[in-house]
Amino acid sequence: MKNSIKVFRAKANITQEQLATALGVYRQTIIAIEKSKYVPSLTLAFKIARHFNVNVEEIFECEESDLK
Amino acid sequence: MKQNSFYILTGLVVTALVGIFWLSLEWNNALPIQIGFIIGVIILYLARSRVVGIIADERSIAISQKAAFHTLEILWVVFFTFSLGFIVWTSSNFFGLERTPTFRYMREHNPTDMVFGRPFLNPGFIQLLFLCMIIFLYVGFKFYYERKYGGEDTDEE
Repeated sequence: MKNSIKVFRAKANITQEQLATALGVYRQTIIAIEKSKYVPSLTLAFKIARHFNVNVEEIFECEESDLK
Repeated sequence: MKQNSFYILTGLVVTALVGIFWLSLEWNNALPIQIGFIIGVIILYLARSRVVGIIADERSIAISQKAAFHTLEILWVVFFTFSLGFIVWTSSNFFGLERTPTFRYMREHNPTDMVFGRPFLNPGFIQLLFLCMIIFLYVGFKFYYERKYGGEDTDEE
């Protein structure tokens, strides 16, 4: 699952720590999601999208391999 | 309650339990440590529910769940294997087969062998070994999944 959290974070000029605090998770979770090593729950994905005022699809992109 | 206060309370409870354990040995009575341990766990459980500022991080929860599940899987196999062996060891004569000495037989006929020579045949020690194995397995799996789900603390780019 690809995502563009890093891009949105850079646009909003916030750090991983600030985003983690705003979402109520650890910074390690944000790092893992940005590296696509951890796929967040639907709830957290919506929280992230809501934080940046965009739709979930604009941040997360599902690849064919994810659906197999 | 702050998290640090909880850690201090945990230390105090553990220290008290060590003391009670020693008293139980002195009095040759298992009840104090058994009751004490249950009370200690209840105290810590109640205290933990009052700790403020804990982050319910979903990745950490997922890692803990996976680690616990795999620990349980391995423990189940090991414990079942041990139990099968124990049943054979203690109940062979039930099936009309020759029997190796039981704990009770060894304690009554050759207590030094029981006390000094083979302390790990004591069921309490064996169960403690299993509990230690749970801790090692759980921590090992936690490390593994921490790495797998990549939360390495890197500098921000």
